[in-house]
Amino acid sequence: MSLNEIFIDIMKQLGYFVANLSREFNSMPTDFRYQVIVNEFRDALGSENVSVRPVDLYAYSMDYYLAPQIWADRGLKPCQPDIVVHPGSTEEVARVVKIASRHRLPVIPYGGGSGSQGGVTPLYGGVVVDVKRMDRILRVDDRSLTVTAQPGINGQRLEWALNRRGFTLAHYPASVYGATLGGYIAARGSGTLSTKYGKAEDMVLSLEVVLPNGEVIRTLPVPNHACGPSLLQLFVGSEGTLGVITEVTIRIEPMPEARRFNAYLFEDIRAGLEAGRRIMTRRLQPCTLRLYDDNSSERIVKRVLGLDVRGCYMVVGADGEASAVERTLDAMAAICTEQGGRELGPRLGEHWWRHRYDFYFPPHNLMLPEMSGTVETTTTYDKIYGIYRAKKEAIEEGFKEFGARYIAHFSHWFPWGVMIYDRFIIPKPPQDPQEALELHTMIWAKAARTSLAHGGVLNDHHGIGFKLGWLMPEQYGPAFAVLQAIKDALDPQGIMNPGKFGFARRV
Amino acid sequence: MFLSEAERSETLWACRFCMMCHVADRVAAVLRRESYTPRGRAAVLWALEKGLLDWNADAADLVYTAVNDGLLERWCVGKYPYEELIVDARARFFRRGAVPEEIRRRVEDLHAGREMGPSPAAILGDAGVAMDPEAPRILFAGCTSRRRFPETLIRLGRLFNAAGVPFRVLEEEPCCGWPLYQLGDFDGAGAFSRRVAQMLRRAAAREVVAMDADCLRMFTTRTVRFGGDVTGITFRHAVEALADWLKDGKLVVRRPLPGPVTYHDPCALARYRVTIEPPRDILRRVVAGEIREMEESGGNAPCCGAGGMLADYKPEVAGELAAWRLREAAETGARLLATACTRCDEMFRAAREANAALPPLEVVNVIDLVARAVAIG
Repeated sequence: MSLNEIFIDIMKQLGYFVANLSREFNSMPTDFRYQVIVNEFRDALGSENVSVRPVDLYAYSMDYYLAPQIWADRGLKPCQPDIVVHPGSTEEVARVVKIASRHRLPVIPYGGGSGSQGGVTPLYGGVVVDVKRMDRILRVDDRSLTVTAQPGINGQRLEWALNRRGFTLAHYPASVYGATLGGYIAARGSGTLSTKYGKAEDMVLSLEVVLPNGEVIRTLPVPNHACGPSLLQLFVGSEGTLGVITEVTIRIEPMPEARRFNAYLFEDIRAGLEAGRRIMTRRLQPCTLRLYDDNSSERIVKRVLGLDVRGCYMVVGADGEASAVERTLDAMAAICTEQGGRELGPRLGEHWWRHRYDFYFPPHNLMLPEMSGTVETTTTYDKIYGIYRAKKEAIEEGFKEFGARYIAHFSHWFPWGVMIYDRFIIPKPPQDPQEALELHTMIWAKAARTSLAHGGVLNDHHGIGFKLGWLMPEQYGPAFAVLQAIKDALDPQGIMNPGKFGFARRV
Repeated sequence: MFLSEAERSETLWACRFCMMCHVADRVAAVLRRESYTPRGRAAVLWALEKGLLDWNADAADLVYTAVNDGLLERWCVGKYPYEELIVDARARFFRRGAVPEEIRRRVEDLHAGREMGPSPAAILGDAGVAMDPEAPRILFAGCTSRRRFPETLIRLGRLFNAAGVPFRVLEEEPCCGWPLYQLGDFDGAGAFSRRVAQMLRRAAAREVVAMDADCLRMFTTRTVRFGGDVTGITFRHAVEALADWLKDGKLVVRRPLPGPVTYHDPCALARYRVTIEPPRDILRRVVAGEIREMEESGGNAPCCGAGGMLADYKPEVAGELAAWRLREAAETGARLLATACTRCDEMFRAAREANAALPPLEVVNVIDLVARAVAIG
């Protein structure tokens, strides 16, 4: 089957489900097999931890993915699970997966529901496994600086608990108030300090995972070894397609003695990018380095932070020992001014830090009735400006008739390159949900293919889910067969989060 | 309705897809289910509007399982009135007759005046508290005080006497209407509001001192909107009055109390009325030891579990919220947890009684503390 055929197949099935969902579900309660399955789950977890109430099934059909939001907005029923379960332990997750496996029932792990890629959308119904009851901190190792916790713990609650002990996870994603630790790992998340402390995949030491057959495994206790390929990294970013993460051991940091910020304004995005590249290739280790293009500075920084700036706003931050922080900020200041950056002063940098999550609250966040998408990519320094220009043109010119706007910032920097967090905005999307989603898919395809053509990857830290799954074979080329073979070996029935990641549907 | 259609629509629009306040919702943290998050409830309300779900007891269960403590609105950058959205939704369920059975029964009890407790006139009269039948100042006890804390009510009456402040109570004190408002029976809440306002006017009241923080919130923010005419009457909480009397020297501390003490801010006082300093002023005057703040205090203090009538509908969830707060109080190292709301007081005591594993912290109403310190009770 060609890539295009796979996509069409998925879209057709999705359309089928949208069109027929109410009939399908109305017939469910009288279905004896369904009752038997529900009873098996109740027997395994207790009745109070199994729900088939319509209100619960509906609530679990939502996350930050645009498709269910559009459907709901336009009065259509989104794809819903058949059952929601709330296991409280690894053993209970294993029981759930074994029951699902026996009945070839799709299993969709669910954490905070903060994903934007359709990772938890129950495309084919099935059982949603909400891990939020598994929210305990099991161990804090203050000698090795690690924490072991269950996957359902809320990100901010974990952070507060660590702060009380003098530590920090140093992982501050925009979704921190709702996302869970398991979600961080399952989607390879990043945060506002990732430039220094790394993304989720860099921070994690080991995992416990329930496999699609219900077996429980643990990866090696530490991530750095010479014992073959990384089993750990196989599950990091697997988005519930290879198993359910039930325990996470992850690095923590001591609370820094000082954390300070400064802000600069560049007339030209290239100058800002060059300043960032020099900062990183001189290995200065900023905790934050965030450069907004002029559109983003106007749309986001000015509106949300009230900073009346014209040009490209950059915030830089350093943390650690106070004297080292001073040195890092001074060195960054020298580079920024050398590249033509005008210093705005620490106040405007600190202001950004204090309000860094405000961007994601209504009415500041991008949400319906506007249609938007974050089409971010990562690449090396030599290619980043080319990608930025190409994607800006592809979106603004390619979708001019829809009034498409393109905004971008560069917020996760690596020793070798940077992530461009770019978004398209369609001010007035079509009212018809199918037309709106087709347009959404077309823009995504254009943006993603432009990234691939210019040496980028499909995504940096939001994950793949359903939204980008159909492009995965295109991204990986022949190597995708390796991933599919691993999926088939671990999950021959294809019950784990089917329809995601571009994996062929089996169930 | 307390939200205009435009406000309601905008709040639903903002909340149905947003999870930025999830961490601030302790009910969601206790239940750990998506349906009981702020987004889950709003998404379901939206689906009800669109005809995707039925207005039934299951859907109503989500909106009655909430504390409506104002914390989510405070947390929200956009300041969307989420709590009002929930109360508005309750009223819609109520009008449709689609509320859970427990709620229907509770509303019936309130209309019938069950569980109101003895009248304040009887409680205070029997205790020998002096009241002035001509006084323009009314002490409004509230049903929790009457039912659960008559001794605290008596001490408050004695503090009035000790301060030389004449007062009286309504001969037959009715419900202020707050519980009915919270439960979505707006017609009932309106009827009670108008009745109590009429009684206060007939009594020629110029000032009302409320012992219950929720009664105070009703009088100051809802009674008029429900049609109760309270023109010319000022309202304040007992701790606001006590703080003034201590400051003015009308009350003299004779036996300062040992600390350390911590204080739980009732949402109706700290968030809705911004009465944050008066109880602390009191504690600084009556406690010889240290006053220790909990991590989340003042306007950020979480609900004790009584908010939104949750304790009536889901006492086990409300109890977990109270236990959570008790543990936070104990983390300060205080030996005593003070609060200024009888409902908080009731929640904390009940939680401690139900769970022996909770820290052995003494829970005391600020009124009782003042009474101890000025040696009148």
